[in-house]
Amino acid sequence: MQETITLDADLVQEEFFDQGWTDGLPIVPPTRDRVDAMLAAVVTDDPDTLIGFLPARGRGVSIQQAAINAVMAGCRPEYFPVVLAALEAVFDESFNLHTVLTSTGGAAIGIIVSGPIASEIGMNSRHNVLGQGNRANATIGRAVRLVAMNVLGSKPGETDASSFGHPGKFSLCFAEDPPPSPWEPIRRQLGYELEDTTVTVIPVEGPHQLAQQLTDSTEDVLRSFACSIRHPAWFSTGKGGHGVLLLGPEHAGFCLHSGWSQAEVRQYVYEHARVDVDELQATGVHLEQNSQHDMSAGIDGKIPSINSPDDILVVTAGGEGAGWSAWLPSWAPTKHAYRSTRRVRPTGEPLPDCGPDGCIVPWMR
Amino acid sequence: MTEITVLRPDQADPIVSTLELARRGPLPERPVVGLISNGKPLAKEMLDALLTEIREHLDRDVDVEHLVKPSAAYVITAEQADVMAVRAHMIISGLGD
Repeated sequence: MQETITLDADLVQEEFFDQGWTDGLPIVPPTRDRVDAMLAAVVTDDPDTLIGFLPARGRGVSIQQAAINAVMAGCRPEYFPVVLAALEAVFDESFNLHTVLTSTGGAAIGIIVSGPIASEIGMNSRHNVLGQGNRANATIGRAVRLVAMNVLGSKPGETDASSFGHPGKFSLCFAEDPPPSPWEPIRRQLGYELEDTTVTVIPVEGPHQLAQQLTDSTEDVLRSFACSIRHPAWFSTGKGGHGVLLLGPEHAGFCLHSGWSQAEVRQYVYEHARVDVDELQATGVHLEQNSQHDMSAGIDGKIPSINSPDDILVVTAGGEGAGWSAWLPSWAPTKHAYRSTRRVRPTGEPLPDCGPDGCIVPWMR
Repeated sequence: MTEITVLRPDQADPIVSTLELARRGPLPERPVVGLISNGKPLAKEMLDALLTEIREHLDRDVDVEHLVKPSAAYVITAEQADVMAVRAHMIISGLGD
């Protein structure tokens, strides 16, 4: 059961700042009524049920702790099932949450929502999709970051060792703009049902906008994007990374009109993101030797910036304009941390019965 | 003054079990030094340099038990820790870069 504290209402913001319980922005005070309203969006007999547990930190996150931080972030109760799904996803072993929250690389937790709940709760998938101005986008991502700070102890100067970090660490959450047929939305690409809503989380560096405005050639557009993906100073270049390729309406349209499938887009970008070892060294990059990353060249003299074609998540999003897309590069190669996905349980759907130990993911039992 | 009652958003520090410290016995004539490399660049070089210092400090030769992690992002397994604890008289865990 979570402790309560009674404060002078005029000083509650200052107290939260003093305690280090905020991300630097004011919060909504988590009163019992507000937290109960958040909890009412999910069906649970026990709000102290654990969503997940980090053995390396000896800390877990309960549903109630998630609700408290979601209130603070400014979430509406109908956002809470999405917050819960995101938290369940970050506890997947493949995501490697402990290191994602610790590394000097300063990763954001990218959160991508695909499915009908995204539009039902008013998420933005179009103009300014990675920017400010949408409550659901902003507060769902913020809630996950506040949980990481307050419940898992991931605070700058303590266990968050980010050398720089980036603005996405406040919040980096958005919805997929459903692609035109025959392309499939993320949830179908990943094997879920069309009527499902899924949340995919991925540890990422800052987003990079990609411009291609003077051609409608699919090859030219994607080749230039691949060149950006193999940027010599990005950590995963040549080491088998992954990431999210956000295709804007114009660029996705060029691919569709050319008859390219999403798999063909992934394959083409993967191949052209392979980087020539000599080219990489000519930029001043020193290749790792006898280390955790195998940077020995293949028979083509190149090394992969993306581990495999499937490690590029192709997502349609963004608004019409001059021709913009974006690349969300993974914070580290796939061997260290990867994306994971969970289905959102709609409001009213019971949580799975995981027994007396709570809904701890299997690998932690 | 208007008061407001709120729920704390944080979590108390985890309770850490009291651990028994390892025995501090005399070193054998030829002790075993465990080296755990995190796999980052230059980790091996740094650990080897420390090993040289240890040899000089102890004024005796040592045997070495090496463990190289495939990824710096993961902790060693409990089994690996147990094996290292049994075999080594002292352990150095190294950070590369």
